[in-house]
Amino acid sequence: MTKRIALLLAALVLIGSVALAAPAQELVFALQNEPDGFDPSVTNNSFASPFLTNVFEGLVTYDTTDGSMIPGNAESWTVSDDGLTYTFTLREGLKWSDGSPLTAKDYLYTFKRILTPETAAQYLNLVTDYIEGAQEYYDGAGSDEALGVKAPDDRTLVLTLKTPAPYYLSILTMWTFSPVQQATVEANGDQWTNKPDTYIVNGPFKVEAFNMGESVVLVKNPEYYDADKVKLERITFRYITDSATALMAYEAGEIDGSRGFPPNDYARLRASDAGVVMEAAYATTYYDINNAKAPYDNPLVRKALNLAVDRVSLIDNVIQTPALPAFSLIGPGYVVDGVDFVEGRSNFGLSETADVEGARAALAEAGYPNGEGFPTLQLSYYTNDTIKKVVEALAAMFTENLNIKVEISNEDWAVYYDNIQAGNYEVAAMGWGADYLHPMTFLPLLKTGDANNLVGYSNPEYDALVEQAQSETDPVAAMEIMRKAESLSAEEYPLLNLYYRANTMLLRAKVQGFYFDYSGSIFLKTAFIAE
Amino acid sequence: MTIDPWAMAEQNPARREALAYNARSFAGDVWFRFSKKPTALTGMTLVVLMALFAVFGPMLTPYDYDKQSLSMGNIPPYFAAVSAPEPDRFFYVTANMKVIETDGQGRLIRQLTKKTDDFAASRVSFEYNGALVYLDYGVNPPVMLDPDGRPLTAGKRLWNRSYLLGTDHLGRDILTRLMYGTRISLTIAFVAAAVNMVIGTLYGGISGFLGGRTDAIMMRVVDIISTIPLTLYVILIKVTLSSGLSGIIIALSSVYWVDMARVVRGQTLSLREQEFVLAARTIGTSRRAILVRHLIPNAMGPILVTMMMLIPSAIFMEAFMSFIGIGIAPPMASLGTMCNDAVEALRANPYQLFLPALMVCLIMFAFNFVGDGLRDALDPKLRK
Repeated sequence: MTKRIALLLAALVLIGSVALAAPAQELVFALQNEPDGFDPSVTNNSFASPFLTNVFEGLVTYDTTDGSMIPGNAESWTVSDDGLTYTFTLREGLKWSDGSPLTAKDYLYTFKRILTPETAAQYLNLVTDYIEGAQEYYDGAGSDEALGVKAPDDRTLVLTLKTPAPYYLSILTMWTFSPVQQATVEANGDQWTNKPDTYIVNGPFKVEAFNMGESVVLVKNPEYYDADKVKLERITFRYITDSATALMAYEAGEIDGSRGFPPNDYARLRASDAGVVMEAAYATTYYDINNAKAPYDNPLVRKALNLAVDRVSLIDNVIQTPALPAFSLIGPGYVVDGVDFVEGRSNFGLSETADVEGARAALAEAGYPNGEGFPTLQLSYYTNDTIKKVVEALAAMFTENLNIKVEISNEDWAVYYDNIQAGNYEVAAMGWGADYLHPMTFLPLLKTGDANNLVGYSNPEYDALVEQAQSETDPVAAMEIMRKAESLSAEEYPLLNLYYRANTMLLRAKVQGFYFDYSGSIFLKTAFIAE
Repeated sequence: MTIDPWAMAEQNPARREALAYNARSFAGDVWFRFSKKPTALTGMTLVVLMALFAVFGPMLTPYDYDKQSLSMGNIPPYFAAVSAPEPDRFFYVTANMKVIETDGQGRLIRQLTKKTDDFAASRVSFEYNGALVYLDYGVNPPVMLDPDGRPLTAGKRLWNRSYLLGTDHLGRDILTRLMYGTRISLTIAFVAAAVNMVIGTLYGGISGFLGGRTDAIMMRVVDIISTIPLTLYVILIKVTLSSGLSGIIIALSSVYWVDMARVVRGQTLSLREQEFVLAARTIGTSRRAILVRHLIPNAMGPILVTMMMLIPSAIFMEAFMSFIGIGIAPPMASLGTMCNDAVEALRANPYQLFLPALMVCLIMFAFNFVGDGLRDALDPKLRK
C-alpha cells in the first residue's frame, strides 16, 4: 500500500513539474509547399523564404521588433559620396555552422558563384543589373579585376555599382546575398543542400533533418554570432499543401502556425481570436491587359475594363481576406521623411465600386456603344483556387457592366507564363510582390523592353523618368520622379489593377518576438514561446 | 374404365409444333427479366428523373448557371435567423460574418452594409433602416445586437426560399448549377458511350473477324494502350486540347474504347466459326455484310452491357478532371468543378460540397444498377 502511495505521489510530482516547467521552446509551422530548392544563391521560390531567412543571414537584415534595416553579418558600412561604392566591415569572429571562420572571401565567392551560368541563379538580374562588371563577368567577357566586388581583407567587402541606386541596401537583405561556404559547395556540388551535414549555414538556426516531402527540422545554431538572443531550440517546417488540412491540424493543436488557411474561414478565425497575423504586403494583384493587341491597344477600352470592376465587392465577397482597392500599380508602404508614396495620389478616374455608366461611356467612345461589335474577351488565369473565384467574378462584371462576351480559359503556371511572355493573351491574371521595399521594384514592369514588361506598354517619357529615378540619389527627389512616372502610366490604364494584398498567417498567441515582413518572410531569430 | 397405357395418342397436326410456353421476343424476354429486378428499375427511374431534371429544370428556375450576386454568397438552404427590430424581418449571420436580412418565409432581401469594424471591442456595426445594428463577435457564436446594444435572441430556423439549395461562394444558385452540371454529366455519358461503342465495336469486330496477322497487330495496339492507365492518357490528351466540353469528349473517346474492342473481338471470334456464318458465306454474302449484319447484332448483348458499364466511369472521369481543374472551363457548372469550388470551404459551408457529391453518387449508382440489371437480363444462362 505504501508503495502504491509513493508511486502515486511520484507520478503527481512528475505531472506537476511538467506543468510548471517553462514551455518547450519548440515551434511547428506549416508551409504550403516544399521549396524547389534550398540553395540561397539559386532559388527565388517564395516557399523557400520562411526557411532561408532563418538559416542564413546576409550583410544587412531586419530588426525583428520594428522591421528597420540593421547590420547583419556586416558590423558597419560606408557609402561613397557619389553613391557608387559600398564598403562593408564584417563582424569579428563570424563562424559557419561547422565552426570554420566566415570571411569576406566567402562573400566574394558567393557573388562569383551567382555570376556563373552553371549556377542558374534565378535572381541573377539583382546582381547583373546593379554591380559593375557583373554582366560582363556572367557573359565570360569580364574579369576578377573588372568585377565590382572586392574583398581586400578578411573583414572588408567592397561593392561597386554601375549607377547610384540608393535602395541597393534593401536589395541586399534578400537571401540571394547570403553567403554560401565554398568548401562544402565544391566538395558536394549540387548535393550540398541535401544533407544536414553538408548544408553549412551562417544564420540563427541550422538544419537537423531534411525529411523529403514531409518536413525540415531546424535547431539553434550555437556558432551564430548572436546565439545568446536566439531562444527557440527547434523549429519544424511541415509541408501541408492543402490549406483546409493545415487549418484542421492547427485547430487540433498539431501545428503552431501556418502560412495558408482557407479564406472562407478568415472571418471566423479572426473573430474567435485564433491567432490570425496580418501584415500589409508590398504586393499588388493586377490583370495584364495586352496593350499590343486590338482592341486593347486603345486606352479607352482599357479604361472601360478598369471602370467596370467593383473592387470592394471583390475584396469583401470573393477573396474575403484583407486587401485595399488598387487604382494603380504601386501600393502603400514606401515612406520617405514620413510621407507615404501614395499620399495625395489621385484615383485616376476610378472608383472603389463599379462605375457602370462611366465604363459604358468609355467603351462607346472607343467605338463600341453598348458593347456592340466588341470581340469576345479572352480572360485567362493559371490554376489556382482564389484566382479562379476572382476570374469568375470579373467575367460576370464585364458581361453585365459592359455587355460584352467573356470566355475564360486556364492553364498550368508553366504553360500559362510562356503564353503571357509570348504576348499570347488578352486579359490575364498576374501580380507582383516587391522584392525589396522600394517602388523601383514595380516601375520596370511597364518600362519598354524590360523582361518583366508583359503587357507591351511603351511610353518613352515614362522610360526616361524611370531611368532618371534609378540614378537619383536624393530619396525625396527620386520619390517625386517616381510618382510622376506612375501617374503618367496610370492615366493610360496599361493594367487592370485590382487590390493591394495583405499577407496573412496563423500563429498562436504564445509565439512572440517574431517579425513578419512585407514579402511574407517570417524572421524567427528572436521568437520565443511565452507561457 | 381402364386406360390403356399403350393406346395411340391423338394425332393433331396443328399442335405438333406448338411450344409448351408463351413465346416471347428477345427484347420482351430481356425486359421481362430486367423489370423483375428492383435495383435495375430503381436505377432506370433515377436516370429518367435526372434526365428530366437536367433538360427541363433550367426552364423552371429564375436563375442562370453564371448569374452571380456577390452579396448573397455562401447562404445555406436551411439556417437559423434572429428577429430584426422590424416586424417580420430576420437577420442571418453567415459563416463569413456578413449579415443578411430575410423575411419570415426565408426570402433573402439584402446584405446589410458594414459601417465600422471595431476590433478592440469585437464589434461590427451595420446600417439598418437609418439606425445601426451590431454584430458582437467576442462571443462564440457571434451575437446580433439591436441599436441599443441589447442582444437579439428571439428567432427561428428558416428554409431558404430564394435559393432552395443555397448559394455558392459567388452567390450563384446551387440548384440551377446542379441542373447544368447534371446536364454536362449526362451529355458526356451518352456521347462518350456512343462514340466508344462505334469505335470499339468496329475495331474489335474487324480484328476478330479477320483474325490472323491483322488481329495480332490490332490487339497488340490495344494491349499497348491499356498498359498505361487510361486516366493518365485522358489527362495528357486533355492538357493539350482546348478547355471545354468537346475537349473532354475527345479525350475520353480517344482511349476509352479499348475494353469495348476486347469484348467485341472475343464475341466475334467465337461467332464467326458458327454455321450461320458459313451459310452466309456460301451464298456469297460480302465480308462487310457478314460483320455488320450478322456478327455484330449477335454480339449486341455483351456490347450493351459493356457500354452501360462504361458510362459511370466516363461520368466520373469528367467530374474528376473538372475537380482537378482541367475539365470544363468556368463559369460553366460541372459537378466536378462545383465540388472543387466547395472543397476549400468545407468547414465553413459543407452543404456546397455535399450537394454535388450526392448528385455524382446518384448518377453513378443509377447507371451501375441499370448496367447490372441489363447484364443479368441479357445473360441466357440466367434464363428461368
